[in-house]
Amino acid sequence: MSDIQAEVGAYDPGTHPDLPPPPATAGILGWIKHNLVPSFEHAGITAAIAIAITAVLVFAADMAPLVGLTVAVFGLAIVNAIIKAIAPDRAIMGQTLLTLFAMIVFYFLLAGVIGFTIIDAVWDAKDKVGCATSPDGACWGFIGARFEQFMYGFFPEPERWRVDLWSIILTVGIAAIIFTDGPRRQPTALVLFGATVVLYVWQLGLGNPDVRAVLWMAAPAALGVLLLLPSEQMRKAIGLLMLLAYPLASFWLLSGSFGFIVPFILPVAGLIIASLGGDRARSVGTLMMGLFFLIIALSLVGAIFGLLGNWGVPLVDSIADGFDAVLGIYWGDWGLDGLSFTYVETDKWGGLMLTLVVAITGIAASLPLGVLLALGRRSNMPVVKTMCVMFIEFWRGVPLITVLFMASVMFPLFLPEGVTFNQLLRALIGVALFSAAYMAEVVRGGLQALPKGQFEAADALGLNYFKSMRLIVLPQALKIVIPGIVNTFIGLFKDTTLVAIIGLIDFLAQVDTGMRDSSWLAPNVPYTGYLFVAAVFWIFCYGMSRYSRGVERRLETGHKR
Amino acid sequence: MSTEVSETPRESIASTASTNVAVQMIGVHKWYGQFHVLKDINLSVHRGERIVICGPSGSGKSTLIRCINRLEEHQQGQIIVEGNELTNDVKKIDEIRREVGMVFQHFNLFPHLTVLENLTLAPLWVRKVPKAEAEATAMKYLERVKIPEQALKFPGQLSGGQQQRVAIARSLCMNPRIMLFDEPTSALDPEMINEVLDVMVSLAEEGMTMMCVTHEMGFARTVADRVIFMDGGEIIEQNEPEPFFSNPQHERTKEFLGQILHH
Amino acid sequence: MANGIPTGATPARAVWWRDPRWRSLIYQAIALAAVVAVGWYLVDNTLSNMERRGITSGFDFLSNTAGFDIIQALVPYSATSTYGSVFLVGLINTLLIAAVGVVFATMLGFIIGVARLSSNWLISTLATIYIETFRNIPLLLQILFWYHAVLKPLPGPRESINFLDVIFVNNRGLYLPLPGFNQAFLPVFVVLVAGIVGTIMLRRWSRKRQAATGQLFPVVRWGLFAILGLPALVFVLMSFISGPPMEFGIAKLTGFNFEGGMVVIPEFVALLVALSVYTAAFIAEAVRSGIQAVSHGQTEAAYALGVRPAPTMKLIIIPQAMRVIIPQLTNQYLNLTKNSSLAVFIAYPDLVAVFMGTSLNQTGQAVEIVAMTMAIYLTISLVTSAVMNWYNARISLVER
Ligand SMILES: Nc1ncnc2c1ncn2[C@@H]1O[C@H](COP(=O)(O)OP(=O)(O)OP(=O)(O)O)[C@@H](O)[C@H]1O
Ligand SMILES: [Mg+2]
Repeated sequence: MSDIQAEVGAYDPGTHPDLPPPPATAGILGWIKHNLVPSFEHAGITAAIAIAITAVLVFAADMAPLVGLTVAVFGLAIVNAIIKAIAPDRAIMGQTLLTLFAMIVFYFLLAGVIGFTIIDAVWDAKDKVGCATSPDGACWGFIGARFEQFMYGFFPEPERWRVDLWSIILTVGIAAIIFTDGPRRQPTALVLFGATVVLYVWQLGLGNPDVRAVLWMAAPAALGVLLLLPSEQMRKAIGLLMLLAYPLASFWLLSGSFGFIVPFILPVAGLIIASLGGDRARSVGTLMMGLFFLIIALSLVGAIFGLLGNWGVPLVDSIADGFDAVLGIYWGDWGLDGLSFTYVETDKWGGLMLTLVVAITGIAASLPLGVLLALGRRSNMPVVKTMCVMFIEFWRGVPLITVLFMASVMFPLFLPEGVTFNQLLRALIGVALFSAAYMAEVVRGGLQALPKGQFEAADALGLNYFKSMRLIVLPQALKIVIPGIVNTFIGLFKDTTLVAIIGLIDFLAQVDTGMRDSSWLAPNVPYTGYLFVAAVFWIFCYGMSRYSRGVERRLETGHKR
Repeated sequence: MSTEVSETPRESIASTASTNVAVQMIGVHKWYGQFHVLKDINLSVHRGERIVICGPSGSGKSTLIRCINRLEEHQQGQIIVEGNELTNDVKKIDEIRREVGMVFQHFNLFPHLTVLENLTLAPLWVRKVPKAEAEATAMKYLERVKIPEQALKFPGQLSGGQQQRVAIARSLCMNPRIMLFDEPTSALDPEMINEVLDVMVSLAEEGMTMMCVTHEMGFARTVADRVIFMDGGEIIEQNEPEPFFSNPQHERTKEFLGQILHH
Repeated sequence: MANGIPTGATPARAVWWRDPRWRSLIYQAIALAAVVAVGWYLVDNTLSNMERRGITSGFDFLSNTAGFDIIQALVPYSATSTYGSVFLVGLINTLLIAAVGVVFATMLGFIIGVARLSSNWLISTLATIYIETFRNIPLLLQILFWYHAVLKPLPGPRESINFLDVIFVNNRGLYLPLPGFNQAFLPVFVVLVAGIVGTIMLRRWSRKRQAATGQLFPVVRWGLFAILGLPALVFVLMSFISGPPMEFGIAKLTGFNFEGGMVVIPEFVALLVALSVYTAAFIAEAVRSGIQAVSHGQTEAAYALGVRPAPTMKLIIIPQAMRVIIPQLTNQYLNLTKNSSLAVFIAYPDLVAVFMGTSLNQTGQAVEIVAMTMAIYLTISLVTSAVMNWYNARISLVER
């Protein structure tokens, strides 16, 4: 035994301290070795050869240094490949050449982006002449001059505060939902209040702030207030309001008509009351919703009588008139037209605002529809199942463009004479049906991922189908597929650009037409315009994908626990 | 324990003639980033020696044996396997890996290949043996681990114990001189543990050099020539099983054995 | 049961409206009725609307003369051709852009996906930047960018960018040499075919030899030589013996435009570049996730057996990764095909642009044209997913 244990270290067993790793394997050197070049010797040799070749090319062949280096790297890569074919162990240049190549690409990328957007950019051009002074850089003046149009389309100038308010509610609402369960809410709120004060002082310094500036400045403060409120309950309330009340408010703010939303206040308020309050509130809310469905049912009956009357069935005409007279009051504007703003036709909507309208409507409509379709697809009623499968596979099988074409040319044919649909509504319906099919497949994935035991447990508790879905199955299934849902949203958001095909002027189309304007015909204007749109879309989409990845990570750790 | 070891005359471990050393580790240190996992490991393993390594979770047992076939890279010290020192030299690493078999906790069988294909893959592509010969060898080892009838199934169709036995057979097909086991039974249900241990015992009887991370103390007692206790990245104590279990020297060893033997 | 003793043969039955089977039948009947009613209502409206507008339904319009030109047609087409020909030309153009796009997107996507997993930090960062940039920008924007910002501002034919006097690039398109073959090419062709056949045989032979003796043979290297190298040698040889086996029709500037050669219209180039670059980002992610889905234990097991990294990749990682990659890849191919319909925005004459766009405008046959176009895409999608389901069932790992 003794000879084995003779190899004794410097410390008694169990007392060896933690030592720092040797320098070449840790810290920056270790990182470089681990991530860039496997061996400093090989890297040194390769770099020396590459630099020597570059020097020769620069001095003898009069090449630009970077071009020379690129040529050297590619040349050596070929040499390395040949060596590799003959003697694999001698081909030591690969990794270093790869690193050099990546560095060159990085350099060109950075130089290109910074050069175009900052160094060579024109900041204050008034028209194409100004832009043309530096054709290799961006012409930010174009964006500056057209900014409002890119955001609001042709929404009348004095009414734009409505769009502002609408987007502020949207941003603040979503931010509140996302951040209310995050850490450090109080300090964040304080920073937001601070920001409001700073903005306010700054604006006052500039002179009289107009209503729009005030609105925007108040946004951080509003978010701050929401963050300070108690979180769990508050999140639910904000979520409900955003989901239910916000669509109505949107319609009111954007189109201006209050009369249209009046009849829908009843069920929406009922739903909110029922979901938030206690037992008493629940029955009140349910009653309100019930009343609304009763009215809808009665209106349908009235409409059927009306149809029968048109076909000449005697007597029903007067019954229909009776229905009309009674229900007409409910569907009317209740004399609340005073609350309406100036009406803005949807063909005046455009720019980023229109893009958001299409995206949000699509998202809001596709989720519930998708859930229904997914449940239908998994149902054990063959007729329902077949219909859902056909519906889903149809929309998923055709391109969105053809759907929009169809919405544009076929919807008018589908409707009875005299009823017309505006172009925006057609696009919205097309987009909603299309994305509902995709959403259905995502939700189905969640339903399939749920262990069978969950369904059985729900049955065992004696819950009926709808209750077990609503209380047990869907909450879990939807939670699993949040990343999938967000990815569908991202796809939908990018696809909103296609509505331009039926004449809607969304954000991309607005910029695209803007740069065709003869007063901005300079070579750098298209680049600037597309870069601007790309940046905006990228921020939205990348933000959403980061969020979904964050959720995914949280879910993963949740499952592991 | 159901394992019975006939008292085969053990090789004298006293002789340390260098030709007789299978693995030698001299002052080996390893870090994960800033974390010092292996601290000054000095160890030599003789041909035919059976070594059991135990120690609390996270003490560096897996890391230690994974250094021996270079699945992990050490940063300081020397590791010499069958006379070859482990360096960055790819050729050397290949040579060593051919001589060292390894069995993993989670089997790591190739799920897209049949059992037979799992066994013949390395002989065909590394040793360049004719197919018929490789298959004959494979069948021979499958018989040794007592599952020749499973040859054409896929790993997913086997029980855990069967899978682990396939994994052992897969290593044996390369005719290794040293076998490393990293907790080969800890992912198995109790009734499957013995079928794997039986195979390991019979391997030991044949004189295979074995290094085995395991908490199966019965196995250690009956089969091991030496038990090594690790904690905090260090070898705290090593001894023949009899004195190791009956008379541990170090405080931590006592504590560990106390926990593992009486619960 | 007069004696009151239950026979036990049939369990007691619920009242029919509480019986789930009855309920389900009733729900289904209601659903069916609702769908039929809505469908009937829509069809009824459509028919009466069409009647009022004086549109005759039916597919007779397909044999009417279309009367417009198409800038890219792979089958004979002129302004006097019929709408039927328009449909065919559009369909072929769609399939063409989809096929070429799939090839480029796959190559690019695999390169980027592998780069994404590179142990070289710079390379994997570059790949990440590529993926995150291109997949988060709308495809339409990318198409418009390539077309309006890159290709259209190119100089006109007279100031074409000139590569060695054989390739010309200007705002009318990309002018490539048009290869023409003569008799001297025959030997080259024969050698090429022989090379392919020979490589297949070589592969068989090498497998047999490996089975018998265990020896490996570098089939790829020799196969490449037989398929590429040998024909090239014969080509050079024939050039000396009987003049060049191929003649290239090179585009020439005559007047204001080029003639001869092979023209690739800028619409095609823009669409191709945008589709490939965009789809490649998604393919790269599929490749990455596929390779990462193979657990590290697999690699370690192979390494522990002494298998080198290259064969480990070929024998262990790729076969397993492919099971994850191929379904996603197919999905991306379908997406690319459907996305090629964005052609209409830059007037590349694909099915949607020439048929759903121009033809629909001219004939007003909305129902028929929409139905035909959608049927094409639907067929492609359904056939592909049927094949995919079959494939997935075949390759899924055998589990207990
Ligand atoms: N790849 C790695 N990166 C960083 N730390 C690691 C890595 N692998 C292991 N470690 C850490 O090194 C230490 C030793 O790990 P090792 O797997 O060798 O322990 P072990 O003794 O085998 O434990 P167990 O009995 O749980 O298998 C642990 O603290 C572990 O967290
Ligand atoms: Mg371990």
